[in-house]
Amino acid sequence: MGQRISRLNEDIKLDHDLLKGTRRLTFEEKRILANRVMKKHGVAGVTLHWVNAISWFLLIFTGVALLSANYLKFAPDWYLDMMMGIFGTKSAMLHFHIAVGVFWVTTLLLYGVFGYKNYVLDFIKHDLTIDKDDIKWFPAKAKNLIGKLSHYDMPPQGTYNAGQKAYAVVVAFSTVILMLTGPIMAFHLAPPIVIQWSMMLHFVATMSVFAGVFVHVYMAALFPEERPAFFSMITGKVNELYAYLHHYKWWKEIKNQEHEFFAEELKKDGIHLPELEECKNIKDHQVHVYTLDGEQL
Amino acid sequence: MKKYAMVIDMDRCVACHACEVACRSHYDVPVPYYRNWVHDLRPEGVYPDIKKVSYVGLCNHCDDAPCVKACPTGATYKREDGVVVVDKDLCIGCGLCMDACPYGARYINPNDNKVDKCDFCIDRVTEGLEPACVATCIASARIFGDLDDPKSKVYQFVANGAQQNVSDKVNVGPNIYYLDNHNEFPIIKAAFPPKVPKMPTPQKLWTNILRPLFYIAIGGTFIGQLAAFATQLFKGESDVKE
Amino acid sequence: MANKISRRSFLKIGGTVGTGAAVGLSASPSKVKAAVKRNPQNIERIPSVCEQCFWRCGIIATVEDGVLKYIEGNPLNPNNRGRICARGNAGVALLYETDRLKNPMIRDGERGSGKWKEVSWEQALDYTAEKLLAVTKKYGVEANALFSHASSGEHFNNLYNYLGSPNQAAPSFAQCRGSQEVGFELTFGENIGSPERVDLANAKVITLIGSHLGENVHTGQLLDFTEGIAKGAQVITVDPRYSTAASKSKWWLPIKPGTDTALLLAWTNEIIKQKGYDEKFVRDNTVGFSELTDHVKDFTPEWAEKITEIPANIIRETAKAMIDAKPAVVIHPGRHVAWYGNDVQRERAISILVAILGTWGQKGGYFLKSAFPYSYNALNIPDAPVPKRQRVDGAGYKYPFGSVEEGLTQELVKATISQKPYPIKSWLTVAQNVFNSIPNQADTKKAIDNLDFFGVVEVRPTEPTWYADVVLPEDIYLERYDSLFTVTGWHKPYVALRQPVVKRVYNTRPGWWIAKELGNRLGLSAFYPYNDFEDVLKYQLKGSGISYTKLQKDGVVTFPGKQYLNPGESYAFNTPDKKVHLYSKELKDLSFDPIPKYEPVNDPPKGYFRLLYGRMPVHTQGDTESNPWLNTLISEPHLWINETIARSMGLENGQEVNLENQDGMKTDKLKIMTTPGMRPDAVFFPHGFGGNDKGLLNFSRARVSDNILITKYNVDPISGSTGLRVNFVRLIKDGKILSPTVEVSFTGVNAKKNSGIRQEEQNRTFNIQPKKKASAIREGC
Repeated sequence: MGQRISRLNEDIKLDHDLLKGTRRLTFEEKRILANRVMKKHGVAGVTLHWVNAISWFLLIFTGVALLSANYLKFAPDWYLDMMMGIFGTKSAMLHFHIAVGVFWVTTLLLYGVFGYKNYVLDFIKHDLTIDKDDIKWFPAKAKNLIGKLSHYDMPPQGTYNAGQKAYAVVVAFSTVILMLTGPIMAFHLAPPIVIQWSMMLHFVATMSVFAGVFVHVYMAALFPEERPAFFSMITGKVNELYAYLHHYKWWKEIKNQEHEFFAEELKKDGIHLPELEECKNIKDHQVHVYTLDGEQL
Repeated sequence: MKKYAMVIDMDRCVACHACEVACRSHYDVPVPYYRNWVHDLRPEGVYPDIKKVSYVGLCNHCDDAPCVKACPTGATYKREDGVVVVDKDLCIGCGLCMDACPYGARYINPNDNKVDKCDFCIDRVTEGLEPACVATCIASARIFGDLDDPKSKVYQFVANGAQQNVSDKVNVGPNIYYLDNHNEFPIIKAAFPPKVPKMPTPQKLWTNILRPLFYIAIGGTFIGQLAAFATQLFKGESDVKE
Repeated sequence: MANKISRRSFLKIGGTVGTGAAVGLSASPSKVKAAVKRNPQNIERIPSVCEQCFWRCGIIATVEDGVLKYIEGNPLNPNNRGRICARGNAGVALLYETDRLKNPMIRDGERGSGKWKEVSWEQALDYTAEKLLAVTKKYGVEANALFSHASSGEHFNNLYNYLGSPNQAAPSFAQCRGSQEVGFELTFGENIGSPERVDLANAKVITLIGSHLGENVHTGQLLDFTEGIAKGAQVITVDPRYSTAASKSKWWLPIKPGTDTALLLAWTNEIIKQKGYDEKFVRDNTVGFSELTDHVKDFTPEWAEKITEIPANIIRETAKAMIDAKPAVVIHPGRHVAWYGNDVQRERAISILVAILGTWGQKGGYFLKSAFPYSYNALNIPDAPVPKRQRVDGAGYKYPFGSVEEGLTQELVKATISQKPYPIKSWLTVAQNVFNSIPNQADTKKAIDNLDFFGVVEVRPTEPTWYADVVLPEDIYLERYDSLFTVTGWHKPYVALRQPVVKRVYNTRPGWWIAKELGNRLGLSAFYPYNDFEDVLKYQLKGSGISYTKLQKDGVVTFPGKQYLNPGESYAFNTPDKKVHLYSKELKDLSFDPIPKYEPVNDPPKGYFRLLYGRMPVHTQGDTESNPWLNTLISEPHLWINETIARSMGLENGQEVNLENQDGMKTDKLKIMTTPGMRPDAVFFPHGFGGNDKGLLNFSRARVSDNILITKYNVDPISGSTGLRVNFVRLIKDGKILSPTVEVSFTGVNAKKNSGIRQEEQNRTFNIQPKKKASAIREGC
């Protein structure tokens, strides 16, 4: 009990300070934060990402190979030949493409229907909202990339930064388009004029995502500062330093949640924890902490 | 290799329409669509010089088939024996081939929403039979055979002046020939000229605008990332500075 | 929270992904309803005989797993030699046509009210027999009349013969071929058959008087015709309309309607004058040549020109062509010749030309009827009773040459109305649309109103079925047996078998069974000592030398035929004196002209056109209008009218008009087809559309039958057959009567064509570019 409260004290001290706003951290602070772990993505979320990624990969891989007409095709002839070698017949390739597509659509629909609150609404809240910080982020990031701006001076971002959000929007729209146009073409659900437009939109959606995927992969996997982001897509967790530096508003949100959680716990012990925002300084907060015996700490 | 072709002997043909019905019967072609056709023209001309002709047509299995070039999935292709066929497993029913065909030889079968057209009865021909339209013709006006075989009747008819329905604007090497000894074929050509292959709007947008844009965009991001990675390699990654 | 994945979330995620995988792997783009690829287990190819028209081509039906898929011609059948026409191919659509009569019905309200109750076959047959017996009891057995046609009709003709009623009529004589048969019988002692024994494939000149072969599709004859054309035959088409045959012709003679006999007489005059006739044949085989010469001496081409509007030099030119080509000249006798009521004489004129050109039994002329080498066993049944009263239609007495086998339909109708010489009180129609085939529909309707009983045996709900008391739906030809088709008058004689190719689709029955069941109920079971018609066929063939099994497998058995006379061989004509009668004493004795004279017909009054009608290649009279595969090709009649005349009335191609005839009968709107290929004094109405057939639900039912306008008709006094081309019509658009404001002359040179194969091109005044010389693309490759 005491241990918990003392941890609370130590952590809260730092947390409350940082909650005032972003600032440069000391080496010690960085160390502390770097050793703490926060959970960003659940197992289902992680799975969704990789199912998506693998499906997309397979679909683009085969989809591009299906297009052989000169005026439509996207891939060079050697690629088309190679893929024909792998699959044997166009028919097999098409069947594979459709099978993966159906699998992908089904999975997404299951998430969308059963996980509506947790995934769809969550997505809309985190990815489809824009604020001033997001707009300011783009020029800031550009300057940051060429070394003219420190990332401490960048506008604070939420769960996902503006760049990630922008890509997410593209992927979301494309997904919807593909979920509609894919089955229409695969199962012959409409007259030719609709199929023609579906084809074109299908390509546009695919290529929009494909255009961004290089950035996405680079930023996530190769860009050193974003390394934790990549691992978050495997373990689901990020270290708190990363969260504070790159996703301040999300870090703040989590802290609020932690605080509420602890407040609930301590209430059972009879200790009342004020709202985080009410604390003007650590001393104030500490004043309100008591042991179970009523001994003020 | 073979080069299947057909000759319509306009001298003999009486436009009885048996060929249309036989084709429909053999391939379950739903009304009102058709794989082959006989379009009757009224007797026209200036008395006393009057002509009564009918345009007997079917897929021309063109040498330079625009439909084959238009098919996005390769469902429509030209076989080695010259017959242009539709692989139903690959057809997505987009109808680009229909817009590309100068002769209007294709239709969408509402039973499976896929494109269908004459395939020279290739399943019958492989068994040594004649195409259904040829077999039923009660005027013996349809001749089918291998244009590459000098002993075949089609070869001889073509050598004797059988004509194709081509125009100055459109000549894609059709393999349906018309034998005409009464100067009637020009009427057909004037009334039913081959149409310039069309590309529908969405595909035009893709080919002319969107695809080049995407090439640039994707290439751009790829190069951009390459540059950033190079910079990163150059800068190195310091644990302390982070 | 634990870092490990909990079991619950594993199931959750795994389930999601797994379901997705399962759906993905099972999805197939071609699982939707298969369009073409068929994989039948059991394929049968069953030969039979078509009945989409009366040519009766041999067919082979391909049946996959019991479903009829397509019909092809039987290559062994000498008639159609492996090919069939649009209607034959469309038999598949007829089999499964949803508008077919499916169940016996008895009317449940007033006649014509359209209220029916479906009954069992027992009930329907009992009812029919009851009614027939009631009429017999009250008025005598001869008061029962039969209107029959086609193969089905034959079973009922037998029934009525067994019953003892002579009052049976089919339209095939009086509304079609009757006068042609009589004309040729009077000259040659035999008719030239159906199929007509014309050797078109070998003819050098083919003369068609009104025949529109090509739109009239008789497969075997068309095969021969096109063969003849390909071999270079010159065709002379005498037709007020530019038919398909005209488009294949060297000479199109747009003759003034009703004047054909004048042309024929002028040809006779010219041929005799030029000594272009076959002197030996005339000398050895004919009587009356000197009378003929004397009779035609004034009927010069100049005389004919004034009447026919065909220039005299053309008449001479075409006569010369026939002379030069003899004996390989076919002057086609025509098939439907029921034009003006003087048709026997016109056919006599044709037969005279046929005779003096020496074409009988010659290659390229008329070929001989062959002997059939076998005879069939007769059924062991009593003789049919001799009718106590004479038939009412005048066949054989009032009309001395009227056919007693086929009867005179319009006379039977008139007798039913007049009740003279005795009342006719019941009608049974079998495969005959009495409203669309017999002229003056009002009379037919009036006659039906007089009946105590009106029964219909039919396949489709045509207009008469709506007025029936009982409807007995018949199997179509693909579902039933019929009598053997024995054809001796063709290139080779043959016998063909009609057998069922599929199980019947609806609750219908074959004609032979309906007739037998009625016979049993009418006390005639002695005439039906069998249960299965196949047994009859087998019995007939037993010992005949023709194997029934072979017939079942091949569909047809052919025999060698003798088509032509050997050089020097003489033919024993079936006349009393064994000679060809150029001069007909028989006719003279009955006070008819022994040699044909030209009898003028009335001209259309001002503002009216003569109503001409004819065939379309995709339809058979009124039988096929609702067949979906044929209806999609031609779904409505288009009236042919001269382009210049139409324009002067303010009409354009494709516009709609009503037609009204001289008696005020009107049709619904129909479209016009304007063309220079139509005489200005006539219009041409394709025959076969409704009708107003109320039971046809999948088809438009506008009243656009030409028969509506055929209210007036002449009756040929020799044969009793009708002349139907004596009605005049005018055009009405939006309630206004239209009148042509110009006159168009059709005298002058007619279209000359370059017939023959692979000849040099001729430049024309018609604005067509001259054809380029054939390029030698393929030579020497």
